[in-house]
Amino acid sequence: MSSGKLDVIWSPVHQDKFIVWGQDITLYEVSRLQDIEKKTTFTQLSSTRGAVVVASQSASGVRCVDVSAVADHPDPLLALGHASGKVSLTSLKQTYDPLGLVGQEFVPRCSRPCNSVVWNRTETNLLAAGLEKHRSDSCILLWDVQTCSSDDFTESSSPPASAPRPLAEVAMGETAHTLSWCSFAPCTLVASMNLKHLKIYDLREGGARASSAVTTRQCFGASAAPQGWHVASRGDGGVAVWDARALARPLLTLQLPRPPRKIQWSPTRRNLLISLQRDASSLRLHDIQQAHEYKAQSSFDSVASATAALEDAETEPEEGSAVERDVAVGEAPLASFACHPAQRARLLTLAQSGALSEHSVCERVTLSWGAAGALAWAGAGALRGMHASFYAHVPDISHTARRRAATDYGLKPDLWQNAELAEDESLRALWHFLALSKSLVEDGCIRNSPWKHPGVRSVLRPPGEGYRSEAVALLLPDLPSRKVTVYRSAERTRALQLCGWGWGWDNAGAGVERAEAAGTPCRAAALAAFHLRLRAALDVLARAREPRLRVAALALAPGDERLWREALAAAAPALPDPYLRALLHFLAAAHAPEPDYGAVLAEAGVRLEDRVAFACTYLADAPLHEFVARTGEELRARGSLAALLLTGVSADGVGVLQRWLERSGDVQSAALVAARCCPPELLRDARVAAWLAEYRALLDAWRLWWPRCLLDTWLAAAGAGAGAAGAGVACTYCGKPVAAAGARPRPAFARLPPPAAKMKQISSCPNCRKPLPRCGVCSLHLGTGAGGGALPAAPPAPAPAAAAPAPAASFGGWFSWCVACRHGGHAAHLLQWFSEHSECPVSSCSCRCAALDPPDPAPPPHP
Amino acid sequence: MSELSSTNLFESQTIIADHKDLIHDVAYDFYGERMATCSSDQYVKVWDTDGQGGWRLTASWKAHHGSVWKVTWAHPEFGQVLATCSFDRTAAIWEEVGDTTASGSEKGLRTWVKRSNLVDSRTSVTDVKFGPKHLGLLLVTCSADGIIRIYEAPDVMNLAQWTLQHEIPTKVSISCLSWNPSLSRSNSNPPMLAVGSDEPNIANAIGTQSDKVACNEKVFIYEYSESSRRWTRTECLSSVVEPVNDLAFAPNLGRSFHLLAVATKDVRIIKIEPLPESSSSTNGGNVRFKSEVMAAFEEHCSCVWRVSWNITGTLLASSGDDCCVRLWKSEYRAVRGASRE
Repeated sequence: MSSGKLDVIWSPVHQDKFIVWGQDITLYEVSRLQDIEKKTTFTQLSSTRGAVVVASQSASGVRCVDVSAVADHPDPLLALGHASGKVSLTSLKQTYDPLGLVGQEFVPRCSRPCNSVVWNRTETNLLAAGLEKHRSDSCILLWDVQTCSSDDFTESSSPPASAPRPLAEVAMGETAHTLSWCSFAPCTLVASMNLKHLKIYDLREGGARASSAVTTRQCFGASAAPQGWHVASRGDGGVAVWDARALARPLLTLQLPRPPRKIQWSPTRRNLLISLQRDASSLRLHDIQQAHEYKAQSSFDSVASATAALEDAETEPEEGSAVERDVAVGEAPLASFACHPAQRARLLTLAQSGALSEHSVCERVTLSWGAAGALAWAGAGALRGMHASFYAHVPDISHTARRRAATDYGLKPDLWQNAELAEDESLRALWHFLALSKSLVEDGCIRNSPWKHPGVRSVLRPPGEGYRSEAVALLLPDLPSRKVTVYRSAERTRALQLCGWGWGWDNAGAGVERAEAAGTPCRAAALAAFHLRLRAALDVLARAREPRLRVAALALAPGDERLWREALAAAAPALPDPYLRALLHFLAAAHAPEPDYGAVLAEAGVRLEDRVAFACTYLADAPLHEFVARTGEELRARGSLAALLLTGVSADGVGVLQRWLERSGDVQSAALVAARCCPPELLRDARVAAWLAEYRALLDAWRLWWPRCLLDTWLAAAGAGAGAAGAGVACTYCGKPVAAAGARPRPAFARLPPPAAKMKQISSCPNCRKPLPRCGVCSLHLGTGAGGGALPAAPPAPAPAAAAPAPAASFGGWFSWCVACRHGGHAAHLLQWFSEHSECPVSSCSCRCAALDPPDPAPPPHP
Repeated sequence: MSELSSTNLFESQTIIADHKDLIHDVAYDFYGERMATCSSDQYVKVWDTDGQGGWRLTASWKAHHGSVWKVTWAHPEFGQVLATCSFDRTAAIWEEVGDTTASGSEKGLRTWVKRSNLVDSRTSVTDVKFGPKHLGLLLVTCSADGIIRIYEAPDVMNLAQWTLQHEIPTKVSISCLSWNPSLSRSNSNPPMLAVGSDEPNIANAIGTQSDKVACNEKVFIYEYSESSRRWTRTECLSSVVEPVNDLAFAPNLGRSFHLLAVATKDVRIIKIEPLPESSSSTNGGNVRFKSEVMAAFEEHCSCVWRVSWNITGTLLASSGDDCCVRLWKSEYRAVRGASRE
């Protein structure tokens, strides 16, 4: 009885059809869910696919089933092995039958149960049946379905005497449990026999003797790999994998915690065996690894000759091992599974409850990021890459930073020029602040600062030092009879300047106009109001393009004092713009007897510089310092760049930049700010050194040599040149640097050779008078300049800004040498030489100097 | 945790790699302009970019007698050098030598020569990585029997000579390793390695055995001590107890902490923060790090295979059993899942 059996088999040719075999044999057709007609009942296999029952028939008396690989049959052709030993062909569905195969029956001489039927996948007319033991009959029969049908096409009711005769009969008096066609040789079967043997039969010879055989406990479910020599079989203790050429001992035995119920080789991937253990809800994938010569499809005629060849080749085949993993495919215990014959990773599972589902069991996908920002991964035998427009959808600092670096971001001679390249609000504000603080220091407005770029905190002296600001009561010019207290001191003035608020209406008025021109009328109005020019604020709002801002202007007009203040406080939160809210809060607070400006300062949408400047104007000393300290700490903790306004580029500022870097990954801005603004003692800070090293490595990986060179030039100018690595040329005899002849202190260009005019005179070492080495190409002494008169008479311009175009002209005369063979010459000559040769120009030196570098994929951006 | 699921974003170019078996590793060189792949078919292939986004096969050779697990590039300062490791128990160093029949116009075919074969391992060599370049030309391998080997080429111009500097037994099967790429050379940052073990958890399988105290940690941090001239295990990450398939340090980028991505049952991002010297000495010198799981993503269902950081350590890509390649952005939210195989 087949009640305990439950199996699922894909049709090898009809790739959207499979059969489920249990009480009944049911043919299913798979299609996408949207293609299934409505009202059709279907079994959902996955989120996208469903299966529709095509046909079904009773499976009583059927002991084994296989689906044929006959290509020109409209529906899957099934071979059913019955308990009587009879093998019958059926197609489940009554359709056109071009080959006349449906309904044929093959009957052995002696009746006993049929254990296995297998169709040959390549010679699709061959069908093998494995039978129980009978002492006078063979247990493996090979039928040719097509010759049988053409030879004696008789009525099915004809007597068994005229029944088709098997093509081959082997294994007399034995029992065959499972058969499997081998792929490595045509017409060869592997069979598990007699509860103890694994045998390989070459049926072309028709001989009754097995080509090779082995006795093993793992003797069930023999299965031959679809490619290669591997054969697997299962037993109670696990799975054994064999090499068909050396069947004497297993290649490897896979221990399984529970007896395997089914094993199958993956049809689409080499060396992958899938096993299902009894009552398991997961499949185990065994990736068979073997360390030996990989023979791709070598064609041996028979197993015997192959075995001989193998024994010749390597007397002791090495043992293999398997990389195993479990793939959970649902909760319920599985009865069976089937791999899709053609599509990778597609797998059908059948639970013991009869539920079908489809899974994709994919391979390990490997992946890698490239320095250029591309991601590559390997899937389905191919390498895949990301779409070029990826970064347009997913902005990332790696891409942004590379684009910025290519525009010489951070390296422009004037600090404010970098602001526009950043294309980011907070970075733009940062560079503008740096430019402002630099100009303030250079103009002498801020003196005695320990840093090149002081911040508000370093300008405002700590309150303990006994200075007091002067409190001045001011009348509002446009609102007579009301007084507002402001505080003034020299320190506060400097802090206001750092914030971009010069004190006095002359400066502030310009700021208001700028803010208005920049399209922020609310800010302009608020700035005017903070300077107590309510009339100007009203004018700005009245000119605003958005009508609702004009409504806000109503609030500025005074009414009943107390009522007005309350109305202002109530209306403020409803306003859309933080500056307008701050403005109303200010007006409400300014008219109170004891002004509390907390609401103004808490308005986070107001720029930090405006808030700080406001605090510097209206807060008394103690609250001001408390405000500045608290705000600075908050911003630092959040990793906000704006905190640099308070700290300046100082030791604290480095901490701010570090937090910013850790939050955003923008090592570029941190390194560039450090290179441009840090005094030498800060450049020696471990954190700063790490940023610079990492950013240099990034520029290296992006092949952005020019920005990198400029960065090093800035650093050398900033006084970090002492530790900077550079190449120099020293005389081989006395060891003194050749370029020191000029001995002019030019720290920024210490590593460049002296100008050509000097070089002409120093074809020998200036110290010991020994000659310099000769160029390998032109045989002149180095230092005499490359031929062609391409060398400029003038030295490179000392200004770092002009450095980029200038060196290209004199480069041809530089010393240049191979680090491997140490031969060298004039750079221009060597470039020319290696454009045509790959070996060193010095005769009898076979060094492939140019090949030590990777092939150059693109012409250099700067000629 | 929003997952942008616009699949056309990830629409990708495809190169038929023509490996006859599963591709185990793909590695970009330092510049991201060359790519090496290795496979179970025992071949290694090198691909060069053609400048227009395409890739051209420039070399393909049979490198080992077994599956080639990993391939990795040395820093270009040392020339064009690859290292591979294989199931056949060896690791090999390869150098590109240009074309052998050199003559002007036809440069293009590049050949790779095996410079050295490291045969110390008795079992499959599961991972190989070159060290950070400021340490010189270092190579570390790990094998299935749990031994980490650190080799050094004393003369960087002679790739045939590699001396085995250190052998670190770990007693568990090691599947993957990663160098800490930090460039800073201060005392608080000695050379550091993270290794991951794929040893199955025996405690789960056998149940309550006597040796239940056996340490189930799967990720170990090793550091080199300049004073004792030895590599010592300074940390076991107690947060990872499932078998580890891959791990990767993020490029440091000057951060004050290290980010380690671990591919185990989920994608895990662990922040390792060196403690200041003073506090570590008060703790008896044993605790050097504060580690903290910053994120654990379980979208890959059951198993994660590989993780890889981008150059700034702001994007993490992972692949897993659900056949998807997923990207995670530095704010630790999913960028999207993609690419069914």
